[in-house]
Amino acid sequence: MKNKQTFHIQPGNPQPDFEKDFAGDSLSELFPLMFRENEESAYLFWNGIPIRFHYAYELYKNIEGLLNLCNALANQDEGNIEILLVTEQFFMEWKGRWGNDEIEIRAKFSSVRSSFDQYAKCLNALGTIRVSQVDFLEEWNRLFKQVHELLSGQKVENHVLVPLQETIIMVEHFTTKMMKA
Amino acid sequence: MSWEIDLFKSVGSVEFGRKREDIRYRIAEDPVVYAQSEAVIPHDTYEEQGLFVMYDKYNRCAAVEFMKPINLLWKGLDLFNMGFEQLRDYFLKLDPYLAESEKDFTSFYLGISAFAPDKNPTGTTKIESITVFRENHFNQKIGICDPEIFSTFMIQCPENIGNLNLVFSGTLTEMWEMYFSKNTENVILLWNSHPVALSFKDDIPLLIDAIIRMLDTMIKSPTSGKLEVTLSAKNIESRWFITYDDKRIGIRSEWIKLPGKMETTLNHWSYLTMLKNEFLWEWRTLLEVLKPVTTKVDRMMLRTDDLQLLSAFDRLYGKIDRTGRFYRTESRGLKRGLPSN
Repeated sequence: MKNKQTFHIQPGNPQPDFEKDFAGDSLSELFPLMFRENEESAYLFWNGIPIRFHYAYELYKNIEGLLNLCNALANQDEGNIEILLVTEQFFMEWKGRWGNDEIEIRAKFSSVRSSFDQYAKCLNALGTIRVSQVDFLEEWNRLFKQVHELLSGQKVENHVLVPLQETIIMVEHFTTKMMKA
Repeated sequence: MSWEIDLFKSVGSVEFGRKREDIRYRIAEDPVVYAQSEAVIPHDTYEEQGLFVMYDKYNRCAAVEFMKPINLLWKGLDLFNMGFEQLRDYFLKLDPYLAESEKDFTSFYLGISAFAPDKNPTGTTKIESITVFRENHFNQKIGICDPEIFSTFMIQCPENIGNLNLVFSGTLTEMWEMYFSKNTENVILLWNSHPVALSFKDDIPLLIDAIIRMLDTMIKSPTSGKLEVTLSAKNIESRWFITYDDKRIGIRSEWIKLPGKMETTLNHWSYLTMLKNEFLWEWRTLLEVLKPVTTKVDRMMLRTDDLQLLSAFDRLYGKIDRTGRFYRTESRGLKRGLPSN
């Protein structure tokens, strides 16, 4: 029997450092300042295998690429994209193509340290996902919305959060349109 | 040129937390860049001035190592004018927890360490270098622990509100199943930096019995013991062979089944050892999540073995009184008074 391919994100429950001021201009720089190391992480479930996605390091490294990915998916009926995501354990090269409300991602996981080689091997053995485009976007948007909610209203300049807000709205429009269709 | 230390904030013109390009702009010399190993962020060396600037994984300045000759000042004292022992004794007065090895001393409290590889017994050792670092430097530098070097066991347990508007009946396991029946989240158990997801709905109800009995054995016989624990549920089959004394715990594990054949990976990192209390504390948040059901059930209706399990739960809940690493208030907002001198 063919295994069902799945992608799911379980957000964590981190507590930002509300006492910090953030005077920078970049969204990515915000995360290591607002979230601590010893905190809950979000987890990506790639075909059932959990991958840590920390609110400080992993969002710092990947937020821009992820927003680009979600913007592209929400704006074009079909297309291709390549993205490199970096975590403390893996380099994840994702080659995605989408159309007809489905996205297929072929991923290659390379471990950052040899200690995680075996873990990468398990992920590579299940390296492809093919899931609904709406579901995929909703998973990311849930995380984006949570981060936005945690950070808005804190000592963060509003304009820093604009790229995040724009993607959230864009994805919401897209998913609503698809649901109606 | 002299470099004045402002505790955890800056040293001379170098401000901790600043981006690499800002630091480079402030130092009047082109750096030589050393990448110590693959995937580790490179550091900048300023050979003429005798500086080694270290960056954290966010590419922000985390520490600066100074070589002689340089005027490194701490509250007016020129630190390189002091011998290793004199400097150590001076900082020991400010930080009684200062750590000393054969080659160096480090004060995590003050953010400073001195390196003297040629320590001599006469007490007149020359210092080779002094490193000044910012708060949390070591924490951010390490990131996820390499299981080759450190054993780790941590539990991320989502704040969980199950369904208490139920009439609980049947066995305790059935009650946990009812309580978590709508919950789609997972408890994440980090075993030697590898995540194992345990579903509240499908796994936790079936594992509670074994977990409570394991923890209760360690609480009831705190000085030493051996036990074997079998964890068996929809997404996990594992056996833990535990040995502990009053301070440490060692677990040899066999992983038989995990999603995505991750058991092969976990078996590669099957052994862990750590402080026993740290292990026990990691379970506290899960116990808190389970607690509402234990207060809701009608104990008069329970079977003897379930009653015993609830007594064990109550005992654990009283004894394991500290949370795991993700949930400690001190790590969620460490505030400390810094010494004035």
